[in-house]
Amino acid sequence: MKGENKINELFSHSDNEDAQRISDAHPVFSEAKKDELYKRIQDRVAAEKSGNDFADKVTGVEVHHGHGIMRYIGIAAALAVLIGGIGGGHYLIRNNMNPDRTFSEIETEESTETSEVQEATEETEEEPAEEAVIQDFDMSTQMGVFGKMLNSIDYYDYASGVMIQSDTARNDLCTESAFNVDLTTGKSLDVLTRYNIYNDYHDVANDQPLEGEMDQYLGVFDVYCDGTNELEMAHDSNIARIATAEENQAQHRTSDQLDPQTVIDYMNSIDIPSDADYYTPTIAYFENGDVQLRGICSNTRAAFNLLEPGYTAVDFLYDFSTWDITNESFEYAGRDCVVLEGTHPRISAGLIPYRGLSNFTFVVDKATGCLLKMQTFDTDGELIEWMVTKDIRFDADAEPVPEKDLEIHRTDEYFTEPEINTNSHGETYGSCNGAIVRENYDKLPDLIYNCLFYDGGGYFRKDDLFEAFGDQPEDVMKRYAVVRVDDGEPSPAGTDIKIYDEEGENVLFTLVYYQK
Amino acid sequence: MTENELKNLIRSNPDDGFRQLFEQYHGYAFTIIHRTLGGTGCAKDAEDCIVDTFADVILHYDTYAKGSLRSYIGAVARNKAINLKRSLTAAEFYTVGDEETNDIPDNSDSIEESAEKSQTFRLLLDKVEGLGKPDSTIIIHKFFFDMSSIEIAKTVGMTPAAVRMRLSRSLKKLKKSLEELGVTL
Repeated sequence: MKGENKINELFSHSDNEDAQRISDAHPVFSEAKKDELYKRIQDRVAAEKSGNDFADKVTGVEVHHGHGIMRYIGIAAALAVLIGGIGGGHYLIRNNMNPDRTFSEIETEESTETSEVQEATEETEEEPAEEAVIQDFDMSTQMGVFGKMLNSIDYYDYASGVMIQSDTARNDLCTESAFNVDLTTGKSLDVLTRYNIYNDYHDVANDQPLEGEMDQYLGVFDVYCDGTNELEMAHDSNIARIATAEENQAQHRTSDQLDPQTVIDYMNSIDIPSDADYYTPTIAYFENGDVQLRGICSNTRAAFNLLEPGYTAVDFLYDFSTWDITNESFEYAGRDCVVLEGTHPRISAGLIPYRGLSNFTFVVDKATGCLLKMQTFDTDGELIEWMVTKDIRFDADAEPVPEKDLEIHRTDEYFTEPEINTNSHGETYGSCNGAIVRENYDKLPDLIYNCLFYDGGGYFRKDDLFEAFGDQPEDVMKRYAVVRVDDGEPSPAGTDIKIYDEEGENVLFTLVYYQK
Repeated sequence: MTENELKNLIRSNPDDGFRQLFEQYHGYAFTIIHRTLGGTGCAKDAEDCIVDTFADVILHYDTYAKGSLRSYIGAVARNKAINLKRSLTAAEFYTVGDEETNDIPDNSDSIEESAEKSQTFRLLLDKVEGLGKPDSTIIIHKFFFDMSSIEIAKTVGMTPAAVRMRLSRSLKKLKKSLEELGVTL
């Protein structure tokens, strides 16, 4: 290469493909900055529309006529008549469900200006796409219930509430999910708290109050989606990890409605191996097959089981001969619901499902298809899995998704190595840089930060963990209930693990690992 | 989201659609604006230009028009940046026709020189990308977008001191590549 080029001067010789490449790989604004800029854009648009014209115009003026949304309401209405055989024939156009939209008038008024730029970029003829038509399903029929559960995300835009579900590890553990979801933007917050259940878990599964204490292993953490990324956030800390393998993996409600008959036909075409485990068939076959379920558009970690029960519906309900609607009008959590009872279809097919699962009871919200309550039982009638709703609200009644200040969070921590420092005694301290197992002993810091999901603060002594839990503390610790005990407080009988400051001198509190 | 999906979303739900459009293309527009401004103005000027660009798009874009949405946004961003550069420098600029969305030609270079510099830029970009994140992001923000360590720190979720440290290490790693390409900072 002859001569020298300034790096920024070379940049001026890039083209638009280079610009796309750069922008795809390197986000230039924080979420807060984007919000600020977009607010300014909205203000500018509003000012211009109200006659306060201070925005620049691109050269050239040409009259264009807008394509009002009403045109598509007509199409939708016509289609709804054709589709009405399955459900009530009531159509809904997604944005028509929520008319309070700041820009909605843009589509309904005639545009009087456009720019030459638009003409300049005209390359291909394009037919206007028809709007997605959302049908209602008849919840007194099995097909209707199945269809609505597959497509629950079409029947609300906003949801908030609290649910509790069983934990797969132990019967005396459960997870509470307090959620806020905005399907129109993909934003959501799912606050997850793991509890040790002190009363009978059968009672909790039958809507009695939970008596328990937060488990210190998983504790409480937030799964927050800003509409672009799903982030795991520890409480009271500045740590946020992108929860997905790559960035920009938030899902959005964009796919068309799923035809329940198509799903049934597909499930019937699958030859499920006799040794298939409980979860594999639905997820694997739908991810790799010709028929796609609609994804987790609520971008939640636990609440999707309630809000988007498509996978559960496919797994349990695709064979209508194995279940019935046993109550067509059952009030639950303040909602009008249907009750479904049946046997898992793989039992009927002579296959053995996970954990001996046999029978189930579902309570499904008629208006949305959301699964508000579930119980599954083994062949002896013992409860296996359960979920109950403590509070549920939709649309206008729903609490909005709280804004999270991502500025205070280290949102890119996913690509940084944990920082290991040395204290005044020459001991290393920092976050785990590997699983807490004997093979990693030498590379683990002497004082390991007590932050799994729950940001408890303070440090474990590495040797304490190996002494108490053997060579595989990482695995063994999960099997215990854990409570935090501050100085002077009574504690259950168990293994005490002290949590120190970074100097390893002062005990901040004690974690008691115990088994009921 | 594909362009057609985005257009459909704008038609069915304009505020969600335009927000998504901003999410999807703000970085692209910002890159074009910065490239066009070529060091003229400050960070706030570039941000003002982003606001102008997307307000214009929201007000005037017809989703039923033929053509590429990305090209449309690129052209608006570039024209806005040209106007801004004019107003900032009060100098006479070559006005690019709207039929193309390439950058402003540098009249001081021959076509061959310009093509060679474009090629060098891509090789440089390959080398920078080879550093991996977050170092590549820091380099690009620093040298292409003239962002300060404080601004970069906010974007990549690090402290300004850590940004400066990583920048220094990255430049050491890049030194040989830059020399081979004849590039100076």
